[in-house]
Amino acid sequence: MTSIRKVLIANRGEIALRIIRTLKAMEIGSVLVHHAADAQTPAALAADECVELTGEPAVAAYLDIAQIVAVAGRVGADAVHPGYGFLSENARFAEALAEAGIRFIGPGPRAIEAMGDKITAKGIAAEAGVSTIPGYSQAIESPQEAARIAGEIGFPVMLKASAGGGGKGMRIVRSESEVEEGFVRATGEAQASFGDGRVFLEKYIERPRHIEIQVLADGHGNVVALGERECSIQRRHQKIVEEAPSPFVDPDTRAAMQKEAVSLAKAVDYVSAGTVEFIMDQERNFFFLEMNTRLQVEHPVTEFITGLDLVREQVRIAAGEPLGYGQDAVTLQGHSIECRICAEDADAGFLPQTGRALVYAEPKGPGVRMDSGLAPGLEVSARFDPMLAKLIAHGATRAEAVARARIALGETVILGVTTNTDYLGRILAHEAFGAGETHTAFLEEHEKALERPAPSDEEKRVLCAAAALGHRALSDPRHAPPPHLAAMGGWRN
Amino acid sequence: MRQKILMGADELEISLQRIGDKAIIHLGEEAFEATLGEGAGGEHRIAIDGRPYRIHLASRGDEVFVHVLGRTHRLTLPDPFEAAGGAGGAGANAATAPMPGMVVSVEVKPGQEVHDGQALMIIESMKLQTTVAAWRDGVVDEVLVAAGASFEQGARLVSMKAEEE
Repeated sequence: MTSIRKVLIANRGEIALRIIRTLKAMEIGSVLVHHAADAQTPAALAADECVELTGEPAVAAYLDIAQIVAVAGRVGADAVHPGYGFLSENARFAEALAEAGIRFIGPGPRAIEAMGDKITAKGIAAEAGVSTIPGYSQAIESPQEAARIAGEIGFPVMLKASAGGGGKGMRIVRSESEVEEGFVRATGEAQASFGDGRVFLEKYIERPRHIEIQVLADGHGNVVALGERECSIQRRHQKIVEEAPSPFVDPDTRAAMQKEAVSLAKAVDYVSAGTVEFIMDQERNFFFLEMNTRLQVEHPVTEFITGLDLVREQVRIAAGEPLGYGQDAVTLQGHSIECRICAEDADAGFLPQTGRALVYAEPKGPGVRMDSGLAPGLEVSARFDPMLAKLIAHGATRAEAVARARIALGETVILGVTTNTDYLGRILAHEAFGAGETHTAFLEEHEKALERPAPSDEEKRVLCAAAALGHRALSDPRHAPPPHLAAMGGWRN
Repeated sequence: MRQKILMGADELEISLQRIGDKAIIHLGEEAFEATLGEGAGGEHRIAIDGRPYRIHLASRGDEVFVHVLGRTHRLTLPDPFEAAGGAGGAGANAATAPMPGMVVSVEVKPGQEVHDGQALMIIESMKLQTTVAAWRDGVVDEVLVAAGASFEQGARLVSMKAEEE
């Protein structure tokens, strides 16, 4: 296989910039495709070449397979990196690129397809010897059938959309009397969200942890596991704080999880970086959830503890190189925490927020990494996902990583659009988080304690002074009126 | 001058005397001196009674964004004229004076139909003039202060007939 000299990035925001940085380090050319709305983003300014995509809404441009494949051919890209989201788990995209003679930096279409359907994936996993959650992996036809199966495996159970993700089409059913309503609502949501109303059912685990294993597989049959990440801190079933390693997983459990993850990767002839997600109960029993056939948002925590650049590994694998190391060479050093900085109001139901970033300053310091798509003056619109940046901290111990992340969050300045930065700081400061007592309903359980505290007297003094001296209408001498009238509009001589 | 500052659920009122780039701020029972240094990229030093803080600061419209002591705050500074029952008080029936002054001219008569934004009277305070405009479509009820007469802060200047359902 020939080497890769030019890569097209079919993504945007922080991940596009992160991929470009690795390409630069590898002395590989980068081409960014972007919607007009993203012409001034840090990724667009960093790429060697940019090509504007047409399409409205803007998200549609990033999902336009024909247009992106055509651009890749025109600019002479050898390969395409899809990032995460958008076309990253689209088998048709991988196929279309293959037909055009361009490499997809990711697994083959067959693996994407097999893992993309939750019911198929669970069947393959069970056959490969992966622990699966007690349940019924076929599509359920009726509330009566759901009630019968739930009775066999015991309540509570969870109804889940077969084509699902992101928490849509999921219903917890705690007793027989709730089955009918749960079934109707889960199928309805699944149909509305994914155009596929099929649901399946499984045992519901109380206070579960979300723990996932990172794997890397080359095209020569070598597969390694890079330890676990715990991603239990979620709002609306979406992760906002992740860490590696998990404070709960012991070496024996890790070894068992890694073995299963590797065997699943081998069962689907997996190539590239992939993640096998599990949920874990209070006794450290773990059950397969799904396999994500792409680079994960939270991959940097694994990079910090393994010392590997996962994008570089993906590019090398796509170029046909063997991994060149085995499982024994993988060692985990220290601890890493990632916080997802999102334009949302954590104090008002996590509602997405928009606005221009009037001021933006990134944190610095030992063991601190900021993967960001934001820059001063950029408009945060409702066109795209609200995640703006990821703050990742590394330390010799979990306590050190948490402390560094907390300080760095406090140094992160985004003015003009409301973000969850302060809220993330409160999560990391919470005693239960510090003790590693995390589970997927952590944020709901500690909702009260995580509320925004009122400003202290000291803060109030500074804020009043800043408002009085810093607000343009009160301070700008060009506004001519004496200061005590300055806040009034429309005055004239 | 007095200025209301909304901080989330809290509403504070300060009064402010400015001397150059210094200000004496009264907040409740206390008073303190504040100075704001020159800034770059939104970053400033602000001193409260001589104690320095590193802050980031930006404003847009009636909003002020401040990052200090590791937290971000979004403040709203309501326009005192609007707060006094002008354009902001769409449901209110009278415009009140934001500060003491005098009426320069009256532009309408009682019973006259006016539209939103139409000038009702011109007032002057501290040698600066502004227009008191209709804050909704409606009918002028009373002109409460005649041209040339002076008024105190909070005085009712001109009223409109209550809106009919």
